[in-house]
Amino acid sequence: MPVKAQKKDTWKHVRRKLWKSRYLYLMLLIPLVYFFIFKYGSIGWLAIAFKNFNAKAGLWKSKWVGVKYFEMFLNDPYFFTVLKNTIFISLWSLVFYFPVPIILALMINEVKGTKKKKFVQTVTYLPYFISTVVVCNLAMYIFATDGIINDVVVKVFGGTATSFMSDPNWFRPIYVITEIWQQAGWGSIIYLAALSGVDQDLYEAASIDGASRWKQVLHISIPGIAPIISIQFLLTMGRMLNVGYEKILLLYTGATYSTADIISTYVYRRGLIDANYSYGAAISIFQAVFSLILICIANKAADKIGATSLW
Amino acid sequence: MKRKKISRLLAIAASVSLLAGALAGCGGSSDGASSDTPASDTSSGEESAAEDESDTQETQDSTATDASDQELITVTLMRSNSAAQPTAEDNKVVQLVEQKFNIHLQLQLIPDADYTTKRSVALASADLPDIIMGVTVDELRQYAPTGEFLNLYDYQDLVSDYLGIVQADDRAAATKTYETDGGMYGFQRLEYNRIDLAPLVALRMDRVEETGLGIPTTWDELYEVMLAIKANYPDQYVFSTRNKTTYMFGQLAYAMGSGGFPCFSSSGMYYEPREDKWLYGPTKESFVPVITFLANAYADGLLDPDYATMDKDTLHEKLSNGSLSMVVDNNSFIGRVYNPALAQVDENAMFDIIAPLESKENGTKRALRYERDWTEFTCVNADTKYPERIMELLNWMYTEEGRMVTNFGEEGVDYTVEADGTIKTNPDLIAEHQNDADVFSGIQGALGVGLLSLGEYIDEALYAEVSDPIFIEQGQQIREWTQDGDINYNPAVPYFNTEEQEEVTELQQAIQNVFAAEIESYINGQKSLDDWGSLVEKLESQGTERLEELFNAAYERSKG
Amino acid sequence: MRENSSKAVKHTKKKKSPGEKVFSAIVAVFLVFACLIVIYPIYYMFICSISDGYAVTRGEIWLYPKGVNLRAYEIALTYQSVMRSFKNSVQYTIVGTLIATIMTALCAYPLSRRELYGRGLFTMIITFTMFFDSGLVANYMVVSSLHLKNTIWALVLPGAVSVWYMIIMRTGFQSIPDALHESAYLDGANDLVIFWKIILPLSKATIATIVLFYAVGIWNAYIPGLLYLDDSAKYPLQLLLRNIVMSSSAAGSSATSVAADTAALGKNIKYAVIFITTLPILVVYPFAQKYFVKGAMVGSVKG
Repeated sequence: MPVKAQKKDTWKHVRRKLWKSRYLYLMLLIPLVYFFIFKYGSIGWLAIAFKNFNAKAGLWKSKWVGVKYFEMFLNDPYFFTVLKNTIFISLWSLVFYFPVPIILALMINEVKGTKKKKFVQTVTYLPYFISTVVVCNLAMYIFATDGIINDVVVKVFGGTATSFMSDPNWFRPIYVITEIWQQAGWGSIIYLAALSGVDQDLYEAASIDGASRWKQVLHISIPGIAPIISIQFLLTMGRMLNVGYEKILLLYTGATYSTADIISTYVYRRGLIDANYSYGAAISIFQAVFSLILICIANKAADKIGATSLW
Repeated sequence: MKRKKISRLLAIAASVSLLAGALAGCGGSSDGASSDTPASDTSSGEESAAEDESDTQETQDSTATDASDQELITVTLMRSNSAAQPTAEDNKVVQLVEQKFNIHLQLQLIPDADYTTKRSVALASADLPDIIMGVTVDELRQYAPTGEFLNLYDYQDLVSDYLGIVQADDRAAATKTYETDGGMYGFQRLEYNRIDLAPLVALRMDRVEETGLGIPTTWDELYEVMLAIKANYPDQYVFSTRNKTTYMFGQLAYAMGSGGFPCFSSSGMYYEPREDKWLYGPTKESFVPVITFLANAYADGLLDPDYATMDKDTLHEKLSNGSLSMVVDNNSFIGRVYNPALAQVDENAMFDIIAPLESKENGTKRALRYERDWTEFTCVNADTKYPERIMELLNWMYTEEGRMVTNFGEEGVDYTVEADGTIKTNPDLIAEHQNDADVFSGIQGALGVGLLSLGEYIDEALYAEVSDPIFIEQGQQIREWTQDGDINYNPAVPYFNTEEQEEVTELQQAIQNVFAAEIESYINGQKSLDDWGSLVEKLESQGTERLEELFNAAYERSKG
Repeated sequence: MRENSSKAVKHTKKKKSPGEKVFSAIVAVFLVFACLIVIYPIYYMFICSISDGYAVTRGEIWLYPKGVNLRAYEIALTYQSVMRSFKNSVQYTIVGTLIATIMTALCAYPLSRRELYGRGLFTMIITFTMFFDSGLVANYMVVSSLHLKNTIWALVLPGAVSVWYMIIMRTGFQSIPDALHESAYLDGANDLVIFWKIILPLSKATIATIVLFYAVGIWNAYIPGLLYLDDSAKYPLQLLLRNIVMSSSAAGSSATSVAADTAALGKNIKYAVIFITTLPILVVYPFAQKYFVKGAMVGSVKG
């Protein structure tokens, strides 16, 4: 009897909460419908990973093959090479690319004078609009044996020309450099927006107290954008295995396979030849599970150190 | 208080209308956005209500005889749209087809750069237009068994003209390799009259002259000539190819008496006419001279070290500004790209092709050219409402009348036939397109004719009128060399059934992973050629012999 | 508020220590350097686009254009249906950005409220979808089964909410003090009113960012246009751009056209097309940019 009463009470409590937030639920309803139709709708199709997909027969009537495709790539010794490469490329990006937009945003924030600031911003984000094909062409141009970099190395420092593009050790640096060139300015926008939300009085108060500008950056600007940094970091971690293939396809050569070949390019090559969508779906599921585990760990860690977490 | 109410109302209204909009979007199909074009909402094969025949003056032309008794239908046709030759949507071919067959061709012109993606998604989801062009052999073999395409053999009477051509002696063998489970599921793109084109060795003739050496006839002599050019221009490299390393082997290996990676293939398998067999090139003894040639060329500074990343633009740049003197590529680039660009800076400078070279080591004198005809197919959706009429239409494209329409447009308007049988394009038409990026492509795109538009049985006579004469001369030269047996056509890969195909794919992937990862180090000298044997062993351990077995079994089967 | 920030600037200017000077110098040098390496390749493309085609092919263009002419732009503009696609792209971008921003805000605001019962669960349900690349075929099947093909909805609905941007927006909303909600509740306002009258005005910078991100994302997208549209009258501009830019790379085009190699379009034409397609975004950007300038929100946060 008392238990029941308590339950009733909780339910009542919940109901009150629900009723109190009724407008919030109303708002949330629309995006939820969207997610169920478009996102879960297509995730459902990943079931083809367990089937020998035949579009003519449809999803349900295709032959069931169980975990054949999962076995296929897990037993493939080459799969671990591409898995390793994918993780390495992501780590390189995380270490060398991730901080750049933040630093850029902090620096732009320190520019006095609206016009100058706008100019720097506009210029740095421009490369984002140049198609990857062109960026890669330009990169090959610059890193070619007779390109600018080698010219400088040979003529100024008297070194010997290196063919950067076909040296596996240079692949990751080149990948990250082009990434920075193309994306850093654009990526800084988000931090700039966050910086604009930092209370200006704090800076004023600090400078009255005699804090140097460097100290102000350290103690006001960075804490001000810490939540965004934390969230961006978590999301980047979560997408660790989902490195796109487009740019790599344009940059790699047979000689750089040993560092450049990643999951998505491998799938692309396989997919192109035998259009095996079931195989692709199996790898998608693997990637998703891996990412979920990773992000859960990262999120826990963020929670522990008191940073803003995802949920 | 009032304002609060209003804003609440607004917010609710906004959310509700959005939801409604989303739902309407999900349910309905046509919307304001699609009102631009009258026929845009006719889904695949649907009857078109459009009966305005303002353009189609049926009486005007004698070809419109059998159209009147059949209702006007709309048929969707998907094909790629080249950036260099954009096809006009309402073009001459579409108009003439409508007059003759009462079929309105609704073109779905997909940008060429992404046509592979579009096509594979359409095929994988079995959501096809009535006619789909540009289907590859692999796709044909993969999707024909699932029942997505109509079998031409079920419509023998309607496609007799096409069958007559592909089953004639000269094509019968190739045609057989394109059959899937005994059925024929697509119309192949065929050549009727082509300016011959082949990837061949091209040299800067002015620089060869400077060296005092003659035009080389063997690969060794070519190497001497290149060394001599290098001596005259020590700051420059001498040659490269485009599209990275495997393509380079495709261009060189066969010509040097070995083989592998023929014509854009990413597999080392090639057909060896001396043995009448399919072989995996790189593991063979005959491959050693090829890799030696390249390794020496790299060491001697002849091979541009950027060969491994070379794309077409960069290569063309280096050839056009004189920093390379030799290339192995399609002869058509010479007249169109290198020579005009070179002529602006040095009037003596010019590239020209040379005859296939002898290989002393392998005792061959040969070169490889692209497949005769094109290995792409036009397939008909098995679910189409009008199978007979579509078959009839496609078959017509291979008849005399259809061929003329799909290659030259309307007789008397776009072209005339001279007394001696040559075809003369309307000079006004040529003048009109003089300012286009390319005259030939401009005319063809506007009319909707030719290889990159709606042509199926290709006649390239128009080239003769608008191209640099060197292109035509080279074409005749290549034809002669082909007739002499010095240039061979790249044959079609034999037909595998599904299980074989799976095994072949697995093997080729595994082998190519090994080959690609190591080959560069043998060319650039990081590994000595004395160790070449170890790569051969590695490749063999990945199953090159099994691969050859599969190929040859399939090949024998196709010979019947 | 403008007074405020200018005062702050003056203040710091007055007592510039050597350390401050070094700091400013480092910032200035770094940014000038960054601008230079960014500008040069773009400048290079520009001078190529207005130079003589053969000079470009020979690779002679480095510092200044040669044989200046606008033929590349002429060809690019007469290129089939550039203007039509341009119009389409503008339409898709406006409608798509509007829908996406509204949907994202509707999703982000409830999830930013700590008192929302089941908030963790909803967040999970939504973020979960982010890790799946379900692939082109699956997405195609969904759009096709909803009969959205060949309509604008196929381009604007499937990508309506990006989880990534939603979370950024949510974080932005969360940074607004809870005290504001509470006092508004006490005034008798409900959540919709609070969202509309308090949260949105305070989040201009965040919303401007998200609007910009969506707009650019939709403007640059070509895959939905490629897959879901069959009628070239409806193509967005990026599809044409890619076709032109990719025309010389073997990776993109079919074997037939590579082998046939009809005249390749020159680099100058490609670059001209890039400028034409990028221009609109360059024009729009300053409007969004004004929200990022420091101090834009000071007054309202205080109020």
